Formats: sequence, C-alpha cells, structure tokens
Amino acid sequence: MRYALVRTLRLAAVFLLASLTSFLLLNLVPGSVIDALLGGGATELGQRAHDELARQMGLDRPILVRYVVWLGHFVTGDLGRSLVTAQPIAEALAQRLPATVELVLLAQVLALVIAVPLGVLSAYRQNGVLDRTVTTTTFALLSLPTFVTGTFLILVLAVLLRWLPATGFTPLSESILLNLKGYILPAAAIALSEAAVLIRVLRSDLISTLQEEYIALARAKGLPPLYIMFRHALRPSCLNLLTIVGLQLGNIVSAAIIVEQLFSIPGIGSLLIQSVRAKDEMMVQGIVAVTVIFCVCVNLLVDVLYSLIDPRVARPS
Amino acid sequence: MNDLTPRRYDCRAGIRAMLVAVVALAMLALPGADRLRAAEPVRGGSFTILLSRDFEGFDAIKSPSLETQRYQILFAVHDLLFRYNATTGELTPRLATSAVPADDYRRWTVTLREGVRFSNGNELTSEAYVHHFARLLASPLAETFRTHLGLPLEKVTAISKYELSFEFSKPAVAFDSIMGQPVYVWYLNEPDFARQREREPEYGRLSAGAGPYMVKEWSLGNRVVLTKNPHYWNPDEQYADELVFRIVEGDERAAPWAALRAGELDVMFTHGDLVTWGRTQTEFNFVDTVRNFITLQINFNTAREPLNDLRVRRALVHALNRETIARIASRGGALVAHQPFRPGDRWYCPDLKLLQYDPQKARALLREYGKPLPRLDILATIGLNKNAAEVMQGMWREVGVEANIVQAVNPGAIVQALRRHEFFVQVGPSGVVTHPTTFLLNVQSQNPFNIWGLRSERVDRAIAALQSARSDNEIKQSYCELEQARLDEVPLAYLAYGAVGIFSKKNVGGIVVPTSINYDLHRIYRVK
Repeated sequence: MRYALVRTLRLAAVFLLASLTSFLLLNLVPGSVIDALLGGGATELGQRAHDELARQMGLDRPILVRYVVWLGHFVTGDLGRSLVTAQPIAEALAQRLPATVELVLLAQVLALVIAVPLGVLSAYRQNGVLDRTVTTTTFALLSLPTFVTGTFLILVLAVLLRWLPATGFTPLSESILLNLKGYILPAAAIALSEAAVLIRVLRSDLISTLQEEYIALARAKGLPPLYIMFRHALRPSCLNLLTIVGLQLGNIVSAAIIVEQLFSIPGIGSLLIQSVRAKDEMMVQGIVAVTVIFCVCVNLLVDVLYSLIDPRVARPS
Repeated sequence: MNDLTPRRYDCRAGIRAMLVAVVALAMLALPGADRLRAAEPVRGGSFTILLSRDFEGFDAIKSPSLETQRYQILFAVHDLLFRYNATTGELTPRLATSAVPADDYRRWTVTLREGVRFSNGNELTSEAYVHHFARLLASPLAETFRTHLGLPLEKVTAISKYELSFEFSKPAVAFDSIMGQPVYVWYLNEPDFARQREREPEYGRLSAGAGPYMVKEWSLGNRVVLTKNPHYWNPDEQYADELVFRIVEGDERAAPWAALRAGELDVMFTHGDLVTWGRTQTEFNFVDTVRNFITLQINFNTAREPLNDLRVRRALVHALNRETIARIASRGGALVAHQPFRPGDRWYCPDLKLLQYDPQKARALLREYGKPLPRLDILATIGLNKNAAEVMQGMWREVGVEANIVQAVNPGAIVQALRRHEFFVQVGPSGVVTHPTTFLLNVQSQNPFNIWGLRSERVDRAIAALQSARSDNEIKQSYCELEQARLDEVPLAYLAYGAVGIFSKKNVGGIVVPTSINYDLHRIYRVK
C-alpha cells in the first residue's frame, strides 16, 4: 500500500513537470492563435480586435498565471474550450480518445500475439533456422521507423492489392467488422517494431531461464518440452517483458501520433498536431494531460503487477 | 424521269440512315463509347470527397480560421448572392437577382430572389442579411471581415422584404464581383435559428443555410456528411443524394494519395504537390488549371536597411529565376508570375516592363549600392513556401547575398511578424485577388495595412487614380499604371501562379475548371 502511495506521489510530480513543460514550450513558439485567426491587421482597430480576443481567451495574462489557472480548472475536471473551435476540450477528447486507445491497445495486443510465440519458439530452437530467421527479421524491423513500415503496408496491402483500407475510420458503434478492418494496418505498423523488441527480450530471458536447475529437473522428470516452456519457463521470464511493455507504451502513444496521421485516424494524435499548428494551447494542454495521465497510470499498473509477480520488488531492502 | 428521281433519292436516304444507325450502334459497342453515353448525368448516389484539413466550423465568428478548404463544405450548405467567374467577370444570379449601385458607388441595392428557403423551411428575406451583417460588424472581428470583403462596409439595411441596401464609407466599385466571391462573410444562417443559438459556444457547429445541401453528420476529424436540402430553390442542381467530405490530413503525397489510389475517394483536389503526377496518369479524370488566387509572392520590408534602398530590392528580384522557382516550389505544377492576375484574365496587364531574371544586372546594382549586405532572413512557413525560400536562398547566394531561412510553424507567427514589421523578406501565398480595387491599395503610404512600409509618391498617385476610376476601362488603365509603379518600386514581387488539380474517378462527372476558391464539388454526379 505504501509502495503504491509513493509511486502515485512520484507520478503526480511527473504529471506537473510534463504539463508545465508543454505549456511553456508552446508559448515559446512565435505567433499566437489570435494572429492566426485574425489574419493581417496592423491598424488600431486590428489591435483592438486582437486585444479584445486576447482578453476573452485569457491570453492577456502572464504565462505562469495562465498555467496555474489551467491547472486549477483541470483538477476540478474543467478542461476548458478550444481556442479555435470553442468546442469543450473534454468533449473533443471524449470523441477522439476512443480511436487512439483502441489503436494503442490493438497494437499492444498484436505485438504480444506476435512476440510471445515467436520468442518462445526462437528460444526453444535456439540457433535453428526459425531462430535465425526471426532474429534477422527483428533486426530489420527494429531499424525501420513506423512511418516507413506503415507506408510499405499501405502501398502493398491497400493500394496494390486493395485488401485493406488505406485510410479512414469507422466507429465501433457503426460496424465492428469495418472498424477492425480499418485498424489492421495501423496497428500492424506500430506492432511490428514493438514486437521485434519484445521478441528479443523474451528470447534472451527464456534462454537464460532454460539454463536453470529446476528446468533440468523438469526435463529429467520427462515432462514434454513445450509444457516445460509454457508452464515453468515462461512466467519467470515475463518480468522483463512486462517492464518493457510498460515502458514501450509511451513509444506506442508517440508512434500512434504518426500513424494516425499516416492512416488518417481521428484520434488525439492528429488532434494534437492540428492544435500545435493552430497554437490552440488549451487543446494541447488537455491532450498532453490526458496522455501523461494514461502513460503514468499504465506505468503505475506495471509497477504494481511487477510487485505481484515478484513480491521481492515491493519489499523494503 | 421525274417519277424515278425522288424514289432513287428516298432509297439512298434510307441506306444512308441505315448506315448511320449501324455506325452509331458500332460506336456504342466500342470501348470509348462510354463517353458518348456519359453526357447524361445519373442522379442519386453518395460521393466521397477529400478534405486534407479538418473542418473547423460554419460560423465566421466562432471559428474565424483562415483555412480555405472549409469553403467546399460552406458553399454546399449555403449559397451566394451571385456566382462570379473571376476570369471573364461574368456574374450569374443566385440568391439575388440584381445589384444596382448608387451614382457614387457608396451604396448598392440588392434584390433577393423570391421563394428561396433555408433548410429549416423558413423563407430567405432581407432580414437574414441585416441580422447576419449586424452581428459580424458588431463583433471584435469586424475589421477582419471588412478585410475579407476588401471593402469598407458600414451597414446593411432592409429596404423591403426582398431589397437590401449595402452602405460603404468609400466608393465600392468592386462590390458586384465581391458578392460572387465565396468568402465566408457571405454564409449566413436562417435568422430565427441564429438568434436562438448564436450566443451558444457550439454555434459554429450548427447551420441552417439556403444552399443545396444540409448537414447530416459531422464527426470531428473524420468526416462531414451532407444530404439534400429539401427546400432548395434550384433542385436541378442537386445531383447527389449524399456528399461525404472525408478528412484525410497530411502531405498530399502520403495518406490522401493512398486513399485516392486505394479507391476510397471519388474526388480529390490538390494545390500543387500532385499536379504533375495528375497530368501524366490515366487512372483518374484530372481537371488541371493554374489560378491566381494562390500566387506565390515575396514581400520586402522597405523600412529596414538594406531593403530601404531600391537598388537592393531590384537586385534581389533580378537574381530570381522564376522558372526554377515555379518548377521546384510546386514540383512542376505552377506557372511564372509577374503580376497578380494571370494571362487570360480580364485584369491582366500585357504591357508591363518586368524585372526579368538577370544576375549580371543584380550584381551591378549591388555594386552600385556599395555597402556590404547583412544576412537577410527569409520568413516562410513549412511546405511549398519553404521550398521556394530555399531556392531563393541559393539564387541570392549566386549574386553574393547570404540569407537565412526562418521557418514559422504556424501562420500566426507570420501574421505577427508582418503586423509588427519584424521581418526582412517573407515568402508566401498572396491570397485571393478578385478585383484591382480591393487588394493592392495597401501599399499606399498612409494605409494602416502597409506591411511593406513603402513610402512612394508615385504609388500613392496611382492608387488615388485607381480609386477615382469608375468604368472597367478606366479601372484597368489606372490599375496597370499602379502595377507598373509597384513593379518599379518593388515592395513585393510575384513569383508563380499556383496550380489547382482535381482528380475524380472515371465514373464521376460535373467537375468544372475552378475560377475561384470554391470548386463547386457539390455539383458532381455519376455517369454511366
């Protein structure tokens, strides 16, 4: 309990630091949302319009005051409104977040579905043909950025073969099948490089676990090799895998921002890019806050799970 | 003999008719015959049209973004008083039937078409325009709206149920052509609908227009679905049952191109990147044109050393090879420009003395200037403008002028720099040019929009002459004199006319060559 509390406090500090940094960074970029909205206008009237809008939007106050006001509203659940469209940020996030969460989860699940069997088989037949093929492929995938993998998948599977859609998004409420069909390529674009990391980690951990004495004992008892692999070797080899899954989640969210653009998925990644371009600081802050909280919570969950799988972790030294 | 001749003639005519029928049938059976049958549009169906930027809203006050792609939706949901052909100057009545200026051009009387209804069933009367413009002109953005019009609009009043009076603080000679410009000042909602909702923050997401289509669904960042307005005054123009504007953002050569090639779009338009490819491919129909509403131009801050010296500005322009800039900046799609109106336009000035590409002359002018030049900052946004800036940087280096590129990530940063005169050179699109009396006047010495800081008596005299011109001939003559003065004084220089291309599937008809920033994409139909 104390362990979880300490972790929570640390993560709250991470949230404050991340949100303040994004607020300051956005304000360091020249130009303001009002300039973009009003266009030209060096006249006195233009300046009056500028000042009036700045006052209405609260942009006439110092940066730190604005940040504190934003934080005050944020902790009470009020994320404010977009400076460009006047849409409530909470509503925009509620509309966009499901698409991103679905993409991230599908990518993560797909990565695990690819990584666990291949990692196990590679370790099981260490230095065999399959292991070598998997090792070579994972190295290739690790060296490819997500946008290259995504573009390749689009060109082959959507443009040339027309098996899957190149772009677009169908809400789950409209059609589950079309929704999943639309997510196969974007999720695969993220999952392939993610899976490559997981395969490497799992393979090396399994190979090390397979040297343990209790595995030799299990073999001596005549248990089937695959039973030993999945029943006795996999669980202790999963600790690092789990840590990597938690750490990689931040990478997946970053990759999702690029992949959403590439596949035109209306998630928070594409909204973030639009908002940064338009200097819509309220929207950017809302998105950053939600993303940070998401990553922080997942890492907290991973830490807690870690301590459950290996109770020695939670014990004070 | 007399009996035989007509009979023989009848016989030949019969054979000829049979031959014609056989040939016609054979032609219809040939592969190219689809085009013959395609003349007849098929009504109904749903079309997917690309928008490469998110749709930001219907209301000019709630979401006053400079983004122009939204016009494709706005024009389908609303309609204009007139349709204007920017090339020929032809004005076609739409929601209005006539527009008559007062003798001094400070007031225009516009008569509305009777029987027009908004999508909520209420009739379009003068009241709608009075309410709409009263709201716009009372808002903090009033000056922005006047800038969009290019005219000093004071107020709009109702003369009768169908007659309106537009009043200006100065003569508004160009008002007829401005009425046909699809700028979003003209898009208005039904007044009762507006009064009930316009104070709500979400008003920008609502609409009740008098256009051919109305909103069925708006999924943010994903799509806007339009369906037929059952009350539209001209149902002959409503071919499609449904128009889906799909938002596919990003570089045109990435996701939008993939969506087009994967068959997910019926129509897609491009502003440069894909024009060259469009001209060579045969997979899609391609409408291709070069328009003056996205002309690339450079602006000089003439109040700042060394650009306050005319020789330096002229040297910098002489050093620019527009052919190369046009080719590289738009990947082959654009055409060289020296003036805002393109060749063929009624306001094009054919006899201007141009500052042609001449590096020798550029070097000579810089030698004559005599002082070493500091590094010049070229302010540009990312994308095609940055490409142009990079090309210019290389060309200036050839004549001994070093330049940095200052990249702005958002248009607001550019606007701020121009507004505060905090720039040396800026490269970017010129914006919409409709009528000579509405855009170049800013270079006048006392004009508050004079971002160039130019002080030129010759230019001021030319502007005064243009402002007092009334007939088209007078306007053109004084405008061309102003253009020559502008060319000689070089506060800015035009580089390349932008390219516009529209891709459509082979079975899509009704795409026309655009003459304004509205591409009339809502008029598409399926062909057999």
